[in-house]
Amino acid sequence: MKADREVRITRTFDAPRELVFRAWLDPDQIVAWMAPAGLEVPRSSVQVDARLGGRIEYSMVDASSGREHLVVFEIVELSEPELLLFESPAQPEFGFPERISTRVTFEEDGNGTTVTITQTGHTDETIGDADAGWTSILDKLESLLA
Amino acid sequence: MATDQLSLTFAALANPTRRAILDRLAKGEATVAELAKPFSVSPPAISRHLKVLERAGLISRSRVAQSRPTTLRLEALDEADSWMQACRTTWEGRMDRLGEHLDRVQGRRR
Repeated sequence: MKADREVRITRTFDAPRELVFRAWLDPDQIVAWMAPAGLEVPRSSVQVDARLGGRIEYSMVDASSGREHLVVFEIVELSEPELLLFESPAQPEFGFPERISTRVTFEEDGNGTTVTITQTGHTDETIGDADAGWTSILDKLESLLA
Repeated sequence: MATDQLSLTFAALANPTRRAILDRLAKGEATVAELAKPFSVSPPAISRHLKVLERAGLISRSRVAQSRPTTLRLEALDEADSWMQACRTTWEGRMDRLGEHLDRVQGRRR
């Protein structure tokens, strides 16, 4: 059974690929966009070690409740300007029950850049098992039950 | 959403025998003997898997009948699904802001 439906997002930006790629690794730019609306990234929380084996770390703070959510992306692959592969540790305290892989590709598209994010979760029990995506069982059951 | 429950759900789903049991139960309720049949696994081993699935809230087992037929509980799967949906929403929100940011740094207004 293959993970045939991970969380996958594709977006095309009207910006050159190099510029889009750099926005992921520059602390000053991370502050500007790496939290969804309603959450803020304090500049002091951002730490970037932009190399293979390095990591991106920052907090997303909910201004209304003051709740803080630590985000960790370990850099497992880095190929500028086309690919970033992150691993995030399980953070049960923040509602992430398992390790998460996040693959980000940057493709030139005319004058713009298409970014595709693919996120796959896996429990410790299944790390290294290609057959282990938890999304696939959900899909399979959904189709059986449909 | 109870995070601990979700962790149990994902851990329970991580095992191929347990996934196969859920596949079987998606076709209708079954007894332990019926569930054990397609596997080269003893009924006690199946019972252990059922305990994990029950703790994760993925199945419920009859307390009434002697054979304790097992049924699939869809609510737990819905919860796992809505967690995935929350991940998607977070990334969509980040991409919205990245678009605005890239316009700003290129001197464009939205």
